[in-house]
Amino acid sequence: MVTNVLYPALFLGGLGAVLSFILLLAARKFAVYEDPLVAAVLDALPNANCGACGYPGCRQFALEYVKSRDTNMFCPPGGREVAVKVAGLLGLEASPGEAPVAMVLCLGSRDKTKQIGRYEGLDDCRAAALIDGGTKVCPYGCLGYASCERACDYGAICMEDGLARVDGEKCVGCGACVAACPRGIIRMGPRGTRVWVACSSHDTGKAVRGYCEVGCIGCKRCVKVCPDDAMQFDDFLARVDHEKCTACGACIAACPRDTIVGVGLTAEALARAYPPAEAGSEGESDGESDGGRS
Amino acid sequence: MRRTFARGGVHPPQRKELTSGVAISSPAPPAIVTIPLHQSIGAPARAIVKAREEVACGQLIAEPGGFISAPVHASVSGKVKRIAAFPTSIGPSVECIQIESDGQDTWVPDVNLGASECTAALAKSPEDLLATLAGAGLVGLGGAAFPTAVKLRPPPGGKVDTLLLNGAECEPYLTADHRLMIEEAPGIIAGLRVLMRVLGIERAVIGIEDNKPDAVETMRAAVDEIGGVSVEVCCTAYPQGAEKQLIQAILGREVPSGKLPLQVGVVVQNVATAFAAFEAVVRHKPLIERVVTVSGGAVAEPKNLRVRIGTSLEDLVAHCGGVRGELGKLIMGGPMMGKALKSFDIPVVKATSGVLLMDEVEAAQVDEQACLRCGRCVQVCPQGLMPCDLAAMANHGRLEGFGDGADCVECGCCQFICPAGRRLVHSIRFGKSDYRRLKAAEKRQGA
Repeated sequence: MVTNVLYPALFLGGLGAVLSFILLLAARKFAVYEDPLVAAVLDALPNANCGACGYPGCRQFALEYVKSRDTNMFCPPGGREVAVKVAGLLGLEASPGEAPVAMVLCLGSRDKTKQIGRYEGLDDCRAAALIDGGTKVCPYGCLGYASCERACDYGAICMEDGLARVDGEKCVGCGACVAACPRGIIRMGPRGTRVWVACSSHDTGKAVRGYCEVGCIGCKRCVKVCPDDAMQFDDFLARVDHEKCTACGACIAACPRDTIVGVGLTAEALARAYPPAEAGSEGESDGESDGGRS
Repeated sequence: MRRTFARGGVHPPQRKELTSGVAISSPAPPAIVTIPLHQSIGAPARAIVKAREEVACGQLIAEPGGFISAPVHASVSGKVKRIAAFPTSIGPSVECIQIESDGQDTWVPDVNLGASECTAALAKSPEDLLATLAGAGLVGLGGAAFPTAVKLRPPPGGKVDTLLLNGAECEPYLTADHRLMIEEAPGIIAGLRVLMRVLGIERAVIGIEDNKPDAVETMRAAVDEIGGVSVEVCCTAYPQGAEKQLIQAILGREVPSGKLPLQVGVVVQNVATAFAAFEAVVRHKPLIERVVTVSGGAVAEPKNLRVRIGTSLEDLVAHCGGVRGELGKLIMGGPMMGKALKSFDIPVVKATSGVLLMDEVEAAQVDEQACLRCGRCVQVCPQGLMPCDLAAMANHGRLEGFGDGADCVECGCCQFICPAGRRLVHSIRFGKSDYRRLKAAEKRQGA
């Protein structure tokens, strides 16, 4: 009776021992050395494999990081925190860079822009752009069929009344939305304090007035008031040069169409951008509510 | 047995009786025309006139902007009002030349509107004729608007033996080509001879569907005396007027995937293009007007109108008694392949074969539901594709296997037959544009 148990146990046990010995030898013989730092860096990364850094995944980023010891390599979703951590693992100082953040260059929600027709096609901006671009008259603005919202893996974009809005806190700066937008109205800007002209229309002021309540009419007032010469003006559209802009709020106050949006402004800039006299009526403008989020 | 193309096809309600018996009428030129610079496939034309400049009818106002491009001519005489971007059927913002008519309709010199004698013109060398056609801004008038002169200049090594004149007009509602064949048969035949001379070939076939017996009869009478030209009748089916389908129906040749009709020795031209060729060569008249069918349940008096390029749809509809009842949908082109428009403030272009004002009933769409996997779209696809699969790939961005989609001619058979009301054509068109982008990106990376 005992043999019925003993022999199979001995046989299988022996077989296991022999095979494990072979495996042990093979593991020794064919071992590939990997810097343990790679595993440590990989561990510190978010491991979302989003590709925002420009590498196919977190592992490739870790390999390249350890190899090049280049602290300018940046993981946008991880942000500052991860940058410090991975630099520390290599005994380096993190470079001061930060992930950019997406800005929507349009304020034309459904109630603010003129619309005609009825759209019965696919619920996708790129598909709509193929057939005359949905119902909004403006040929430059947000189409409102949420391609960017679907492209965003971090839930940082939501559609409000046919207009994409970015939650600056959730945005990791991967740029997936920029690629998804057929109108090219999403751009990356500096994190923290930023001011931008939320319009993409190159139409004349008259044409813009005809279809949008909040579009840039090319009056150049912002260009004139800017103390830092940070307003570029081209083809009926103002654009902020983020290198020069000090976010003083002067342009926001000067814009007759409330097209310029500021986020993370100082109290002084806020007071200048939205003078107290108007604060009662227009205090809750887009600029301020955005400012609260960042 | 009458022939038709081998694979697929549908039989949508014809509704051609609305306008097939109505003779072409020529309303007075409009007070203002808006002429888009990008009216053909290829590069847009470049404006050569300035605002406030006086132009005569038929004067060149924009020259070709590339090899595949066509010049544009003034369609009324008067003053250039402005050159700016306007909404058109091609896109929401296209560069156009707007001309205010002076009401005189003064033509450029050497235009002879009454001429019909073509012997002298036909004696010219093929190169001269080709130059005339290119200079007259001729594009394919069937709807695709490919510059005619480019099509008639086969690349070296390409051997053409047959010219196929397309009189199928398979889109429902449209009767512009039908009426043209009845009323202008001698002109079409003269144009056909011009095209044959340019190509240097002896054989031409005119393909007409059997729902136009009167046109068949007139065309047969007109070709009687000329050798090498015959009229072939094919059994009505949509999309018979598509190049590849017509070649298959009439000549029994199949154009390989991804290739042009040239591959099988055929050039296809529309009957309206042939007539325009006749006008360009014999009357020295550039392409500044065309016949447009204005039809549909929501138009008071459906008509065939000979209108100037650049006439707004508003003027067009006004000539037809305006809108009757509730307008469901406004379409430029035919109901199967045409483009729905958002406003009447859109100009007629060279490719406009029809303008349809559908009433609510005609325009009604089935609500979109999940695919039933019935396979009817596969059965009716004249290109032998699987529209349901292509659309699914496009919708989900899985374009690895989308290669076949490039063969789709966007005829709309699949969407017409789909019992679940799926927007198959839109999905496939979307997929095609994404696939092209994907391939271009891959090519850039590989290079």
